[in-house]
Amino acid sequence: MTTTATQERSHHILWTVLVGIFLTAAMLAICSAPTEQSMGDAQRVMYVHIAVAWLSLLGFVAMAVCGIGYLLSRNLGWDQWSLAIGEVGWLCSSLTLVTGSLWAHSAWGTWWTWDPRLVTSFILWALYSGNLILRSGLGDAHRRAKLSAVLAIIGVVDVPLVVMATRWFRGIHPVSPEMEPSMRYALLASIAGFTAVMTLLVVRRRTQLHLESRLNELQMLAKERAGSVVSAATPLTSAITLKKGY
Amino acid sequence: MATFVTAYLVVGLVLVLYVGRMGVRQRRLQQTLDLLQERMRQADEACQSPAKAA
Repeated sequence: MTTTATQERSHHILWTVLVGIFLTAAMLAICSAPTEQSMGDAQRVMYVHIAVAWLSLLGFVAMAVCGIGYLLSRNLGWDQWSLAIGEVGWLCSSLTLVTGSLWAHSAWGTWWTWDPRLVTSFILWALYSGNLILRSGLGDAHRRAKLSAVLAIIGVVDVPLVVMATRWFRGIHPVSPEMEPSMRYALLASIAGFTAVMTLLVVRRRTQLHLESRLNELQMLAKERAGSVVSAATPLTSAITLKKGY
Repeated sequence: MATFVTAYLVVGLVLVLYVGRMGVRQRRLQQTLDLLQERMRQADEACQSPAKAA
Protein backbone atom coordinates (compact mmCIF):
# COMPACT_ATOMS: atom_id res chain seq x y z
CA MET A 1 0.00 0.00 0.00
CA THR A 2 1.39 3.44 -0.91
CA THR A 3 2.00 6.16 1.65
CA THR A 4 -0.72 8.35 0.21
CA ALA A 5 -3.23 5.50 0.33
CA THR A 6 -2.32 4.77 3.97
CA GLN A 7 -2.73 8.43 4.76
CA GLU A 8 -6.12 8.62 3.07
CA ARG A 9 -7.21 5.53 4.98
CA SER A 10 -6.10 6.96 8.35
CA HIS A 11 -7.92 10.18 7.48
CA HIS A 12 -11.12 8.24 6.75
CA ILE A 13 -10.79 6.30 10.01
CA LEU A 14 -10.38 9.59 11.88
CA TRP A 15 -13.50 10.97 10.25
CA THR A 16 -15.50 7.82 11.10
CA VAL A 17 -14.37 7.92 14.74
CA LEU A 18 -15.20 11.64 15.01
CA VAL A 19 -18.66 11.29 13.51
CA GLY A 20 -19.39 8.15 15.57
CA ILE A 21 -18.46 9.72 18.89
CA PHE A 22 -20.23 12.93 18.02
CA LEU A 23 -23.49 11.24 17.04
CA THR A 24 -23.44 8.90 20.06
CA ALA A 25 -23.07 11.86 22.42
CA ALA A 26 -25.92 13.67 20.62
CA MET A 27 -28.22 10.64 20.75
CA LEU A 28 -27.56 10.17 24.48
CA ALA A 29 -28.36 13.83 25.12
CA ILE A 30 -31.60 13.63 23.12
CA CYS A 31 -32.92 10.13 23.85
CA SER A 32 -31.43 9.01 27.16
CA ALA A 33 -31.51 12.21 29.23
CA PRO A 34 -34.93 13.38 30.49
CA THR A 35 -36.30 16.84 29.73
CA GLU A 36 -35.62 19.39 32.46
CA GLN A 37 -38.82 20.76 34.03
CA SER A 38 -38.21 24.52 34.13
CA MET A 39 -36.12 25.09 30.97
CA GLY A 40 -37.38 22.25 28.80
CA ASP A 41 -35.31 21.09 25.83
CA ALA A 42 -33.09 24.21 25.87
CA GLN A 43 -31.35 22.69 28.90
CA ARG A 44 -29.92 19.97 26.62
CA VAL A 45 -27.42 22.54 25.34
CA MET A 46 -25.68 21.92 28.67
CA TYR A 47 -24.37 18.56 27.38
CA VAL A 48 -22.36 20.34 24.70
CA HIS A 49 -21.64 23.54 26.58
CA ILE A 50 -20.12 21.94 29.69
CA ALA A 51 -18.04 19.53 27.58
CA VAL A 52 -16.42 22.26 25.47
CA ALA A 53 -16.06 24.59 28.49
CA TRP A 54 -14.19 21.87 30.40
CA LEU A 55 -11.89 21.31 27.42
CA SER A 56 -11.14 25.02 27.07
CA LEU A 57 -10.06 25.14 30.73
CA LEU A 58 -8.06 21.92 30.50
CA GLY A 59 -6.45 23.16 27.29
CA PHE A 60 -5.15 26.34 28.88
CA VAL A 61 -3.67 24.44 31.83
CA ALA A 62 -2.01 22.03 29.36
CA MET A 63 -0.66 25.00 27.39
CA ALA A 64 0.86 26.46 30.57
CA VAL A 65 2.47 23.08 31.36
CA CYS A 66 3.95 23.00 27.84
CA GLY A 67 5.18 26.56 28.39
CA ILE A 68 6.98 25.52 31.57
CA GLY A 69 8.37 22.49 29.72
CA TYR A 70 9.75 24.73 26.98
CA LEU A 71 11.26 27.31 29.36
CA LEU A 72 13.03 24.54 31.30
CA SER A 73 14.31 22.55 28.32
CA ARG A 74 14.29 25.03 25.37
CA ASN A 75 13.00 22.13 23.30
CA LEU A 76 10.71 23.31 20.47
CA GLY A 77 8.73 20.06 20.70
CA TRP A 78 6.99 21.54 23.75
CA ASP A 79 6.06 24.57 21.68
CA GLN A 80 4.54 22.38 18.98
CA TRP A 81 2.32 20.75 21.62
CA SER A 82 1.46 24.19 22.96
CA LEU A 83 0.40 25.45 19.52
CA ALA A 84 -1.67 22.33 18.77
CA ILE A 85 -3.43 22.62 22.14
CA GLY A 86 -3.81 26.39 21.68
CA GLU A 87 -5.64 25.99 18.36
CA VAL A 88 -8.04 23.31 19.60
CA GLY A 89 -8.45 25.14 22.93
CA TRP A 90 -9.36 28.32 21.08
CA LEU A 91 -12.04 26.40 19.17
CA CYS A 92 -13.43 25.00 22.44
CA SER A 93 -13.36 28.42 24.10
CA SER A 94 -15.19 29.98 21.13
CA LEU A 95 -17.77 27.17 21.17
CA THR A 96 -18.25 27.68 24.92
CA LEU A 97 -19.20 31.31 24.30
CA VAL A 98 -21.46 30.47 21.33
CA THR A 99 -23.32 27.56 22.98
CA GLY A 100 -23.58 29.51 26.25
CA SER A 101 -25.02 32.44 24.36
CA LEU A 102 -27.62 30.19 22.68
CA TRP A 103 -28.63 28.81 26.07
CA ALA A 104 -28.70 32.29 27.65
CA HIS A 105 -31.07 33.50 24.96
CA SER A 106 -33.55 30.74 25.87
CA ALA A 107 -33.09 30.94 29.64
CA TRP A 108 -32.44 34.63 30.30
CA GLY A 109 -33.87 36.22 27.17
CA THR A 110 -30.52 37.82 26.25
CA TRP A 111 -27.52 36.66 24.22
CA TRP A 112 -24.98 38.21 26.59
CA THR A 113 -24.79 39.71 30.07
CA TRP A 114 -21.83 40.88 32.14
CA ASP A 115 -22.02 38.00 34.60
CA PRO A 116 -18.67 37.15 36.32
CA ARG A 117 -18.58 33.64 34.81
CA LEU A 118 -19.21 35.03 31.33
CA VAL A 119 -16.62 37.79 31.74
CA THR A 120 -13.89 35.42 32.97
CA SER A 121 -14.74 32.99 30.13
CA PHE A 122 -14.46 35.84 27.65
CA ILE A 123 -11.05 36.76 29.12
CA LEU A 124 -9.96 33.13 28.61
CA TRP A 125 -11.05 33.33 24.96
CA ALA A 126 -9.14 36.63 24.59
CA LEU A 127 -6.03 34.99 26.08
CA TYR A 128 -6.28 32.09 23.63
CA SER A 129 -6.75 34.54 20.76
CA GLY A 130 -3.86 36.72 21.96
CA ASN A 131 -1.59 33.71 22.07
CA LEU A 132 -2.40 32.73 18.47
CA ILE A 133 -2.06 36.33 17.22
CA LEU A 134 1.26 36.72 19.05
CA ARG A 135 2.58 33.58 17.37
CA SER A 136 1.58 34.70 13.90
CA GLY A 137 3.46 37.98 14.34
CA LEU A 138 6.86 36.58 15.31
CA GLY A 139 9.39 35.00 12.94
CA ASP A 140 12.03 33.57 15.26
CA ALA A 141 10.88 30.16 16.56
CA HIS A 142 12.53 30.38 19.98
CA ARG A 143 11.37 33.94 20.64
CA ARG A 144 7.86 32.94 19.62
CA ALA A 145 7.94 29.90 21.90
CA LYS A 146 9.30 31.92 24.82
CA LEU A 147 6.71 34.71 24.62
CA SER A 148 3.88 32.26 24.07
CA ALA A 149 5.02 30.23 27.10
CA VAL A 150 5.13 33.34 29.30
CA LEU A 151 1.65 34.41 28.15
CA ALA A 152 0.24 30.92 28.82
CA ILE A 153 1.79 30.78 32.31
CA ILE A 154 0.49 34.23 33.24
CA GLY A 155 -2.91 33.59 31.63
CA VAL A 156 -3.49 30.31 33.47
CA VAL A 157 -4.41 32.44 36.51
CA ASP A 158 -7.77 33.02 34.78
CA VAL A 159 -8.66 29.29 34.89
CA PRO A 160 -9.44 29.11 38.65
CA LEU A 161 -11.27 32.44 38.29
CA VAL A 162 -13.55 30.91 35.63
CA VAL A 163 -14.16 27.81 37.76
CA MET A 164 -14.83 29.71 41.00
CA ALA A 165 -16.58 32.76 39.50
CA THR A 166 -20.06 31.47 40.38
CA ARG A 167 -19.01 30.90 44.00
CA TRP A 168 -16.80 33.91 44.65
CA PHE A 169 -18.89 36.56 42.88
CA ARG A 170 -22.60 37.18 42.74
CA GLY A 171 -24.07 36.47 39.31
CA ILE A 172 -26.88 34.72 37.47
CA HIS A 173 -24.93 31.82 35.94
CA PRO A 174 -26.12 28.45 37.40
CA VAL A 175 -23.87 26.83 40.04
CA SER A 176 -23.48 23.03 39.55
CA PRO A 177 -27.21 22.11 39.53
CA GLU A 178 -28.52 18.84 40.96
CA MET A 179 -28.98 16.24 38.23
CA GLU A 180 -30.78 12.94 37.83
CA PRO A 181 -28.46 9.95 37.29
CA SER A 182 -29.50 9.57 33.62
CA MET A 183 -28.68 13.24 33.00
CA ARG A 184 -25.34 12.82 34.74
CA TYR A 185 -24.48 9.78 32.59
CA ALA A 186 -25.38 11.65 29.40
CA LEU A 187 -23.22 14.57 30.51
CA LEU A 188 -20.29 12.31 31.40
CA ALA A 189 -20.60 10.51 28.06
CA SER A 190 -20.61 13.85 26.27
CA ILE A 191 -17.56 15.08 28.18
CA ALA A 192 -15.71 11.81 27.50
CA GLY A 193 -16.66 11.89 23.81
CA PHE A 194 -15.60 15.48 23.26
CA THR A 195 -12.38 14.93 25.23
CA ALA A 196 -11.53 11.97 22.98
CA VAL A 197 -12.27 13.93 19.80
CA MET A 198 -10.27 16.98 20.85
CA THR A 199 -7.34 14.87 22.08
CA LEU A 200 -7.28 13.13 18.70
CA LEU A 201 -7.24 16.51 16.95
CA VAL A 202 -4.43 17.83 19.17
CA VAL A 203 -2.26 14.74 18.60
CA ARG A 204 -2.83 14.87 14.86
CA ARG A 205 -2.11 18.60 14.65
CA ARG A 206 1.07 18.19 16.71
CA THR A 207 2.27 15.44 14.35
CA GLN A 208 1.60 17.79 11.45
CA LEU A 209 3.57 20.60 13.10
CA HIS A 210 6.45 18.21 13.71
CA LEU A 211 6.40 17.20 10.04
CA GLU A 212 6.39 20.89 9.00
CA SER A 213 9.38 21.57 11.21
CA ARG A 214 11.35 18.59 9.83
CA LEU A 215 10.53 19.64 6.28
CA ASN A 216 11.89 23.12 6.96
CA GLU A 217 15.12 21.57 8.28
CA LEU A 218 15.40 19.40 5.16
CA GLN A 219 14.85 22.37 2.89
CA MET A 220 17.64 24.25 4.67
CA LEU A 221 19.90 21.23 4.31
CA ALA A 222 19.09 20.95 0.62
CA LYS A 223 19.99 24.63 0.10
CA GLU A 224 23.29 24.20 1.96
CA ARG A 225 24.16 21.11 -0.06
CA ALA A 226 23.29 22.85 -3.32
CA GLY A 227 26.13 25.27 -2.53
CA SER A 228 28.75 22.52 -1.97
CA VAL A 229 27.65 19.57 -4.10
CA VAL A 230 31.16 18.26 -4.88
CA SER A 231 32.25 17.96 -1.24
CA ALA A 232 29.13 16.06 -0.24
CA ALA A 233 30.27 13.05 1.75
CA THR A 234 26.97 11.35 2.40
CA PRO A 235 23.96 11.10 0.11
CA LEU A 236 21.26 13.65 0.81
CA THR A 237 18.53 11.04 0.61
CA SER A 238 19.96 9.43 3.75
CA ALA A 239 19.10 12.64 5.62
CA ILE A 240 15.43 11.95 5.06
CA THR A 241 14.30 10.10 8.12
CA LEU A 242 10.78 11.48 8.12
CA LYS A 243 8.06 9.02 8.66
CA LYS A 244 5.72 9.78 5.79
CA GLY A 245 2.06 9.59 6.69
CA TYR A 246 0.59 8.72 10.04
CA MET B 1 -35.13 21.46 20.89
CA ALA B 2 -34.21 24.05 18.24
CA THR B 3 -31.60 25.60 20.58
CA PHE B 4 -29.98 22.24 21.22
CA VAL B 5 -29.95 21.29 17.53
CA THR B 6 -28.47 24.69 16.61
CA ALA B 7 -25.75 24.32 19.25
CA TYR B 8 -24.90 20.83 18.05
CA LEU B 9 -24.83 21.90 14.41
CA VAL B 10 -22.50 24.82 15.21
CA VAL B 11 -20.11 22.51 17.07
CA GLY B 12 -20.29 19.92 14.27
CA LEU B 13 -19.66 22.52 11.57
CA VAL B 14 -16.65 23.98 13.40
CA LEU B 15 -15.13 20.51 13.83
CA VAL B 16 -15.71 19.63 10.18
CA LEU B 17 -14.04 22.86 9.06
CA TYR B 18 -11.04 22.35 11.36
CA VAL B 19 -10.50 18.72 10.32
CA GLY B 20 -10.94 19.69 6.67
CA ARG B 21 -8.33 22.44 7.03
CA MET B 22 -5.94 19.94 8.62
CA GLY B 23 -6.50 17.54 5.74
CA VAL B 24 -5.63 20.23 3.18
CA ARG B 25 -2.46 21.17 5.09
CA GLN B 26 -1.47 17.52 5.34
CA ARG B 27 -1.85 17.01 1.60
CA ARG B 28 0.30 20.09 0.87
CA LEU B 29 2.98 18.89 3.27
CA GLN B 30 3.04 15.48 1.64
CA GLN B 31 3.42 17.06 -1.81
CA THR B 32 6.30 19.26 -0.59
CA LEU B 33 7.99 16.25 0.99
CA ASP B 34 7.66 14.14 -2.16
CA LEU B 35 9.05 16.99 -4.28
CA LEU B 36 11.96 17.55 -1.92
CA GLN B 37 12.84 13.86 -1.84
CA GLU B 38 12.82 13.73 -5.62
CA ARG B 39 15.11 16.77 -5.87
CA MET B 40 17.49 15.31 -3.30
CA ARG B 41 17.65 12.00 -5.14
CA GLN B 42 18.48 13.83 -8.36
CA ALA B 43 21.15 15.90 -6.58
CA ASP B 44 22.72 12.74 -5.12
CA GLU B 45 22.80 11.05 -8.51
CA ALA B 46 24.36 14.13 -10.11
CA CYS B 47 26.96 14.19 -7.35
CA GLN B 48 27.86 10.49 -7.59
CA SER B 49 28.03 10.23 -11.42
CA PRO B 50 31.21 12.38 -11.91
CA ALA B 51 32.92 10.48 -9.08
CA LYS B 52 32.19 7.12 -10.75
CA ALA B 53 33.38 8.38 -14.11
CA ALA B 54 36.67 9.54 -12.56
